[in-house]
Amino acid sequence: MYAYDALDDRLVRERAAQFRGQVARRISGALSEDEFKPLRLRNGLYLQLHAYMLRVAIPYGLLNADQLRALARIARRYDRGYGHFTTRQNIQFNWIRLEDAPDILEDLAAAGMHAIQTSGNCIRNTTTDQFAGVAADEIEDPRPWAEIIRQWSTLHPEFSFLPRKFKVAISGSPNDRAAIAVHDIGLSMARAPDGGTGFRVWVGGGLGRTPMLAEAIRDFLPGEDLLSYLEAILRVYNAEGRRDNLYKSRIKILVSALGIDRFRELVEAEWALIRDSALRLNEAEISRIRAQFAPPAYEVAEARQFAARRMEDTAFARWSTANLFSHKQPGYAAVTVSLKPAGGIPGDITANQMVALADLADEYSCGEIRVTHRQNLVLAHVRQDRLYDLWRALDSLDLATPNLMRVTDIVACPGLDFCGLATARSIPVAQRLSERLAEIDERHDLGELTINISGCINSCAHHHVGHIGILGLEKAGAESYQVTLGGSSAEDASLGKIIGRGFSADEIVAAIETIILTWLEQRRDGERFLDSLRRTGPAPFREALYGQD
Amino acid sequence: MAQLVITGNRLQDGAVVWRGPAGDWSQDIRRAAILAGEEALAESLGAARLDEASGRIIGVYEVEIETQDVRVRVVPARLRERIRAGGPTVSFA
Ligand code: SF4
Repeated sequence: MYAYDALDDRLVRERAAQFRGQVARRISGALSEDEFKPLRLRNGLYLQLHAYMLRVAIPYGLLNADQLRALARIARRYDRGYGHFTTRQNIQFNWIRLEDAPDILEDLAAAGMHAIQTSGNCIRNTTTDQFAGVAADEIEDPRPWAEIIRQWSTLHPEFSFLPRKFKVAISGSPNDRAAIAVHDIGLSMARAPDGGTGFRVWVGGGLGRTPMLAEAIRDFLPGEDLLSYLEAILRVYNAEGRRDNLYKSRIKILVSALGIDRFRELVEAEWALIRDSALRLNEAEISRIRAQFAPPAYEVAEARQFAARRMEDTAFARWSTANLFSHKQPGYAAVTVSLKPAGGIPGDITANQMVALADLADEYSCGEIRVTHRQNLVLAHVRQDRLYDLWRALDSLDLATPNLMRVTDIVACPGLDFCGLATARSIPVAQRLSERLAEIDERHDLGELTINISGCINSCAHHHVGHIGILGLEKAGAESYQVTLGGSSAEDASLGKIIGRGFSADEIVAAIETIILTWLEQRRDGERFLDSLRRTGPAPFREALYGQD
Repeated sequence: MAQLVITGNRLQDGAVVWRGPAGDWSQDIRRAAILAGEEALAESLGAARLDEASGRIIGVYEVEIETQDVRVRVVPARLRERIRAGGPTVSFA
């Protein structure tokens, strides 16, 4: 995996030292809060309801075992012994003291990590498919390209004060596991007629107050032109995007106001000026970065023992059906480590679990861990004949819930329990739902059914693209939960539609249960919830929830 | 008439604090000065803003509390402030 070079190392260390000075000046009173706030946000440090929260960048969700151990040390030393993985494949610590923040950044720098560009109106962490480099269906490993974008966008002087934050996602496969349709820019790897690789480019997707799916701006972009084309899009956005109205400042609003054709014209005109500049990637540079993502030295592994274990142990069989992803290397599998035990907090992990998982990654998966945008972790290179031992170890750590993409694999943001912007709680709803729905799933085998819960309209938990989405609002001083049905962030992306009036905190779990039981009455053989809903439309659900009212 | 308390977050650690009768700041909402009337509020907020200006406290504002039982317990009217006063409603890690 990619290792920081001397330049990266110097940059993060200098940034940590610079922040130490800024914090000291704030504490001494030399800087006011108004002066200091933009500086701390540039280092991922937010003030939330009860404490500071530090968001640490995990570029495209990739960690090595030592980095996970470093995060565990930070959780123990400076926080309350745990961390929370986010839908941006980053990690957040909820209980940080301002005076500790410089030491934390220094510890992160020593582990080749930082919190730069995890906040502010800049280009944020580029996310990608958690199975990049191992998925049999991918056209090419997207991580070298994500790394190229990271290098280009880090402290990019022209794009440090964009109208609003900016998010890019890349999928290496036509089967989109990176939610590219809901990103400011979505890149989908594609093959040119001559066999070379490049991208299909999408622009103007996003959630929040005005959810929109991205539109295709270019059918094929050669890989070597990636940066100049991204730069052209960003330039048009930087110049034309709205700065007068926060709610209209994302690129999606600009694209929809101009229309995709006009927006494309502007981008093409800008691109013509810079395409042949130093931004053109040469093959040597692309190869140098690709080499850092070369597959590990796989061993010859055989699958017989795995099949036998599945026959012997039904709990293992269930987990391996739910949480394994087929690997392009015969005899291997990619394992999803669920951070969603029934009744747990989605995405939370204790320091003890982090350390144990780092050891398991060393032992079973080439020392590498990945964070998914659904708040789980992945061990991507596990020999099938060692899966049983790994599963037992994960189970003893409460990290083997067999629920990937199932109804209890709930995505939830911190909500009103932690977040200063929240209008309602999301975690307790996720906890109650996962407890209740685990039982229904057990009885009825619900298959793929995603639930996403956001604690406010900012939609950090991507509720618009959950098969069932829940948005927590405040109505007349009380929590009220609005339900959307039919969202998807996959290649068949769609935005969920509001089913009707909202539900109170007391009603919401029963309402979701009603939706699922209603679906079971409608379900045809093997149908996913989403398939049935697309077939029947929302009427049966509306009727079951609201009757004739 | 509404009864109010004044709150903010402590600079050093971000902890939620409530302003007491002597201008002290406590993490315990029961120690907060309960203000009734615009004059009391304006005076207390003015003093609190000085602490904000000196950098000890961030984001000072007033919070409405429920009026029953103020001698026994101080409960903010809004859930957000109840959670700030009492901590997250979920047990973590
Ligand atoms: S969706 Fe709202 S409540 Fe949830 S983390 Fe984002 S800003 Fe906070």
